[in-house]
Amino acid sequence: MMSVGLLLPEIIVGAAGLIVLIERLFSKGEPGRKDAAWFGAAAVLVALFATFKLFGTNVTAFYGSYRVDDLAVFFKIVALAAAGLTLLFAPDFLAPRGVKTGDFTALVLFAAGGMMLLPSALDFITLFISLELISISFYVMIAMQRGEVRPAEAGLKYLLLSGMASAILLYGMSLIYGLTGSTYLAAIRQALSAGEPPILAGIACLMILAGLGFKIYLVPFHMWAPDVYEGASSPTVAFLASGSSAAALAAVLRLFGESFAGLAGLWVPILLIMAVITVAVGNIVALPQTNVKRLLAYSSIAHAGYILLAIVAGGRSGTAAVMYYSLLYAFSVVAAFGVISAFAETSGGDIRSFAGLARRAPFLAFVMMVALASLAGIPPLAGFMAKFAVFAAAVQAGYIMVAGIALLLSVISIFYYFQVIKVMYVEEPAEATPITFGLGTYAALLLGLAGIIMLGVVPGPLMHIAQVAAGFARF
Amino acid sequence: MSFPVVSATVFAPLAGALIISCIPASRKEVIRWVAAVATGISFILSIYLVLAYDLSAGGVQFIEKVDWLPTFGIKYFMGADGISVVLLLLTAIVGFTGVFASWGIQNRVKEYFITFLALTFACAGVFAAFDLFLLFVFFELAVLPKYVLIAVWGSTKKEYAAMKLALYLTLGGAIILLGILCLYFVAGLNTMDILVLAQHSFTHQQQVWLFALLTLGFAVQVPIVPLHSWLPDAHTGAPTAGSMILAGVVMKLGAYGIIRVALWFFPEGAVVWAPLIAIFAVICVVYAAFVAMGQKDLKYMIANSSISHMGYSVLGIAALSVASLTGAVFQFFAHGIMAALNFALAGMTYDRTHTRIMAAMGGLAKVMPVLAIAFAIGALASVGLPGTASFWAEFSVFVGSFPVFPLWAILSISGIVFTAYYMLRAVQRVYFEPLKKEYAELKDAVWYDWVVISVIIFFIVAMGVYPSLLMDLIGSGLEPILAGLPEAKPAIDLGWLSALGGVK
Repeated sequence: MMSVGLLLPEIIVGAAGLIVLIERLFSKGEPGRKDAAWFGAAAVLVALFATFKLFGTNVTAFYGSYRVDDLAVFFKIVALAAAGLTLLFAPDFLAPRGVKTGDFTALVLFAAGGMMLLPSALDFITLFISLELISISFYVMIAMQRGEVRPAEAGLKYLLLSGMASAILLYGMSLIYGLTGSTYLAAIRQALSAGEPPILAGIACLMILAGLGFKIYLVPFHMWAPDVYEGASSPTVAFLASGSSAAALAAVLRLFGESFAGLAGLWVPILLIMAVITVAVGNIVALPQTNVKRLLAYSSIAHAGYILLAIVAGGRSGTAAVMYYSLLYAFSVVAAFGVISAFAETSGGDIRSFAGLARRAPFLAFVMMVALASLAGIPPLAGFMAKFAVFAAAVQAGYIMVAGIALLLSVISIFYYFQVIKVMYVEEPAEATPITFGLGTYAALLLGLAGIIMLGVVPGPLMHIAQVAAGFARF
Repeated sequence: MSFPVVSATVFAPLAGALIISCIPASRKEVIRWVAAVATGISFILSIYLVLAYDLSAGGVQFIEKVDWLPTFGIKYFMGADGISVVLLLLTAIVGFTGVFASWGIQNRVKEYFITFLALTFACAGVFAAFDLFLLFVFFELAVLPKYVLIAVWGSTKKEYAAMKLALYLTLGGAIILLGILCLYFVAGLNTMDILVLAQHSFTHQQQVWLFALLTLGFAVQVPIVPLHSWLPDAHTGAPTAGSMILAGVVMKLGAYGIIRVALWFFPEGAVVWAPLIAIFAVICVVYAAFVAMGQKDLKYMIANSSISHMGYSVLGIAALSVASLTGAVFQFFAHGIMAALNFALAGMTYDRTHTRIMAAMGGLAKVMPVLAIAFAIGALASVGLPGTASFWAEFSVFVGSFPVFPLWAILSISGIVFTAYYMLRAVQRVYFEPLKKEYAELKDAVWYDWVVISVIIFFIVAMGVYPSLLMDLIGSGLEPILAGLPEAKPAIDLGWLSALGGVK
């Protein structure tokens, strides 16, 4: 009975998703209704409380396949925060465009369920199913705007590439199962750390890295991101950028920090090189972008590179930095896409549509500026603290050169972030009409803004929680 | 806990910015007065700090300490020692007069003052922070307001200038951050407290490399040639008060960082690198002076002259002697108010003539005698005329550095000659040649110009006549820093000052 209690937050989210779906069957589904999303947001809030109650539980259940510890709880909170904020501003975008809010809400809730299960997964089956729950929900969400070409194209791209990534991941998993005879992470660790691991184990480990690397924007598995970001609706992208990669990062932490610890001699140098390349590609290719959504895709890639540094640094501070980064990044990116979804969708995020935003909608421009400054790592905003934690972990682990190169590459990012700020504040608007947006958007942006500023100004408590939770990365 | 004077001095402009953000944009007059009151409070408090600082006790006073990020041992640690007090006063003077120099701005007044006050706040914070992380936070905090100030209210090539500044400063910031992280983990004390870290003895090898890394990062901000190319564009592109604070305060942040962090923590590294830094300092002084001579644009000329003048400070730092370092820090103050005055007058002149090309002006003294006299005083202060604050600064830099680097000191002194040439030529071209017809109707200083001119000139002259007020403070602030230097005398000896007669 106790074990089922461990799943309470996931059950709440899943049940809410089902209720929304069933309600859709019986209602006429008038376009413009937003109550499904409000219901979903309320469910997320309840689940958030249930999740907070799980702090300090630290139990392995279901025959060793599922673990609730502070690390998992932390990532569940990231997923819930991302889902909650997305559901707040999504209806303002979806309802006028004829998308049934109920469908979107149900999918967000299901994906959130997957994101909450993934950090707890301690065996390959649970892990893979959680991952697929996320992926399949996103296939639909990305392609959801019927009759429009770009979302459909983006959805198809994501489907094909994600399917490929899943296949490679599964192949790697099956090889590991063949070598060790187990799908349990703990058993795999034991088998792999006893004696010299076979070469095949190394190959399998890299396959798993490739499969998960797709989700966390690792170069060269990042190609989908710009197209999907540009094509999909902003609420979808907000949730994709903030929730999906965070959950996958939790899995990477569990797998590489623990199960493949015996293979560290193989994957540490590879990941280090990939981290630098990821930072370089993300920052450099972002420079010529003229579409803010594409620009943010490359920015996501660059940030994935920083996080990767912390993963390689490992240890308590590295793990804590990954967790901290995931949450703070989620706030910044949701706020940025919240602004884009409030007005820029009609022109697909073209940077020219941002011209003079400060005059047309001072609040939107201000939120966007704070979100971008946070992503650029300007203190005292959340993004700066996160960056500090990551680079501190890397230097502590002795990767001074790599941290230095990544820091220098991060300077480039100032150019493209400030470019957007400049367009919003300096250039004259093409049309002077003020922009209006709904109460949900307002609430989501206000919460995002509060998160970015508060967690930057008062970083102590959260950093402490992350440090404590990081102690559970080794189970 | 007693009233947090230092925090109040630093945060008063930020509080002003927050109040302004709640005022409707159409109430321009109210917004201006709120900004004036906010910077005025900070001005009064900083004067109080100068007077209340207990010289006989020395060290860091007015301490405020709160845990901020315990995981890394980071504290909100504010305080003031002799150097901080002087530089807080400088920031407050420039901030306060900057508000009045911006009185005439009509375009987006509300956003302008919010940005300006935020920048003043960030600069003041750097000087008052005694936690390394906090210092870095304030340092980086200044980047965004600087960018916005230039990009929105600037003039020539403003977007290019703003972006160049942001990129250069962030580059410097990235190098500094790497240096801070390295020294933090090398020390392994789990604290960012500057006073504690300064007591830690790093090995010789660590000192050499960490000094190099941190000084390189801070040198971008000073700026030391060849990392200076952002500065003339930025200072020229910025609005008047922006140029004032950029030249008056922001340029000092980098040099302050070198003294406060690099020099204090790594004295052995400083000794190793000092000869190289001295060479760069001389290049700064002479090269920038030559560039200034070639300028037709008044603001470009002043901007390049600023680089030249900061070269004296850098030379003073490199010489590592008591007199030269005291002179270097005094130069922060002296050049700070002087550059603010020069840029303010360039701005006032531009507002009237709508040109910054010196050859296009001429004879303006006939229609605006007050501005002409003020500009002449600023020019003479640039040259380092006795009776102005800069005289003492440059004099002690030369006295201190001559025994260490005789050749470099002599070469730098030649900079004064160049300065005299371009500064006096500017006075002549702009104010004294025959008056051009189109300028016959121009108005002289209005009341807010008077505030700017009188406050700054008061300090230029007061500190020129009575330099020991600030000299003693700076000396007491430098005492612990000099104690780590192997060759410098531990006790403060300003005997050479009194030897000149009538000063002490």
